[in-house]
Order: sequence, then structure tokens, then C-alpha cells
Amino acid sequence: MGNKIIVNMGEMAVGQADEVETIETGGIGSCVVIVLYDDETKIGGLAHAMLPTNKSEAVKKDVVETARASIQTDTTVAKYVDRSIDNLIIEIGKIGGKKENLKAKIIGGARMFRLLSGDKFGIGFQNSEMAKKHLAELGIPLESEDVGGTVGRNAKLQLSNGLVSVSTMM
Amino acid sequence: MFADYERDQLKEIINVGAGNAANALAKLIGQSVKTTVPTIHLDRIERLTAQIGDPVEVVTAILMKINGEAPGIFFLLIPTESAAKIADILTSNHKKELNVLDSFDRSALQEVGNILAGSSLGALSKFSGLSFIQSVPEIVTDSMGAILNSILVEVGDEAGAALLITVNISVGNGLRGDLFFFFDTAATGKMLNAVEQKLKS
Repeated sequence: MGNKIIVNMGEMAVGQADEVETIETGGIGSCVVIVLYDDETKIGGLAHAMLPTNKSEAVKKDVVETARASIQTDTTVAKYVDRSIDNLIIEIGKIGGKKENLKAKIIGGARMFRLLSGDKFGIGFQNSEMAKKHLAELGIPLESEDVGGTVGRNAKLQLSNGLVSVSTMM
Repeated sequence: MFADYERDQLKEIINVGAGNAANALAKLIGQSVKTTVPTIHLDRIERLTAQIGDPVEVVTAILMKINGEAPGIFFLLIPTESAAKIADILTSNHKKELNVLDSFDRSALQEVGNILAGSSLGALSKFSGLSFIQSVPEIVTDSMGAILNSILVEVGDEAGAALLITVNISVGNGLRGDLFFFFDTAATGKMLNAVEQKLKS
């Protein structure tokens, strides 16, 4: 108990309430953080993804197979939104969580610089849209979201009850 | 990806630019300004932020887009306290509350960014023969992680690698900040070519 895991950009972590108290991440700008939580087993995970999808991956291999091959220490594991959701489900499954119990929360996807995203919505918007789309494809309900805007966020998942607290620096 | 001698050339080009920027800043605030030798970071974008500093530190970023022959981004990261002090010097202490930037301060700091970018890009242009066109500045205060990540992912190529060159600037009384030159790989190649041409002639 009292264990806390800190996740950096492009990384993810999973845990169970008896072993891990919280999973935290900071400095979420245009990135999007996806939290999946199984209320029955108190198992959850958090991924800090940077880009919507891997466009250069011309031939998409079986997503599950590729994800299995990549070990958790590989930082590319949560680089892309779609892949990191798949990876989270796999890792949660490994420690006993059930996919049908999972509920999702997404945080981030801000538009930090107007100069960079132009009149379009930018990477932040694409990230949160990809997360919603992929969660819908997988049939995982999106419980709540705190996305968009122009400020950076920090997120903390409490594994005992699945609550996510979001704070801003400003 | 780069040979050692190319890294050295790149450092030298940026050194010229940053030296000019420091000079401009010194004139602006009336104090001597020191710069460090440029540091070259070439890595996957998810690893860059951790190399630069604490992602939860609150900083003020002044950012300009570079268009032209070698497109990229020029930005300054200044810790909030230093940003407030610089604004204070420039606006002759009009402020009552320290560490809070009002619109007047932000405007002054944007102008600092503008002048620094202008002087360093001017020097770079003279040195390399390439033309650079800078955009209007944009100022954002937030956690460093959120700021850096957002810049890196908007411009880092799909391969995920980015070239970021940083120069640390410091002024006597604890004021500090960092200058960042961020170019995509094509633009970097162009600059190295230009230098090579210059060395041959």
C-alpha cells in the first residue's frame, strides 16, 4: 500500500488497489491520457499517449500480436492513442481485470499554441477524437472526459475507487 | 545520424545566432548576459522532455514559427520568476504583484522573443545564406512538460525523431532562461550544406 507509480509521456502503467495506491502523470498538453478501470477487481491503468495513430505503419499487423510483443519497458508502448488503449486492455487482463467491466476516462488534448495548430484543431483535438473513436470501437463506455482548452493538466488515478483527479498548473 | 564534425558545425551556427540574441537581450535589459555552448538533442520525441528538465516546473514560453528555406521553430523557455523580473525591468516596475504576468508584461515579453529571434535568425541567415521568415510571437505559461510535448508533437516528424538545440542564457542576478532552435531533419541538412559550401569557398 501507499505505492505510487509515475508515468511519463509515451508510457503506461497498470495496477491493483492492494499493491498500488495511485498512478499519476503530469505535463499533459496536447497529449491525451486514457484511464481504464475495472470497478469489480479494483484494477486499472493509465496511458499517456502523444499522437493519434502510427501513420507510417503501412501494413497494420494484428494489433494484439504487436502489442504482446512489446514489453512494458518499451516506451513506444503508449506513444499512439489507439495502440495504447489496446495495450492497456492487454496489461489489465494480465493481472486479472476484465475487459467487459472496464470504463474509460480521458484527459488532455489541449491546444497549447495557436501558432502551431493553426485554424485547424491540431494534434490535441485529433488525439481526443481518436481516443473516443477507438473506445467506441472496442465497446468501452467513456465515463467522463476533461479535454480541450488551452491549458496543461496533471492526472491522478486512485486505484481503490477509480476516481481520477485532474489539476492544472495555472 | 550526424557525424561529429557536423555536430560541431551545427553548434557553431547556433552559437553565432545565440550570441547575437544574448547581445540583443543585454542591450534591452542593460545587464550582461552569458550563454552556454549549445547542446544538441537528437532523440525520439518522447525522450526529449525528460532530458531538458522537470516536466512539472511552470515556465513561460515565447514561441515563433520559422518559415522560409529552413523551416523550424524558435522558442524561449523562461522560469516564471525570471519572466516576471524581465518584464519588470522592461516595464519599469509598473507591477504590484510579483510572479504574475499581466497582459502588459506578456506583451513586453513577446517583444523580447521577437527581438531575440530576429537577431539570432539574422545572424544565422548571414552565416548560412539561407533566408528565414519569423512569425509573430505567441506566449504561453504552463508546465514545461505540457508546453514541450505540444511543440514536439506538432512538428516532430512521423518517424518520431527530432533535432532540438538548446542554449542556456543567464544574467547576473539569478535571471535565467533557455533558447531553443527546433528544426526538422530536412532543414538541418540544408543548413549543414550551406555551411559546407561556405567552408569550400
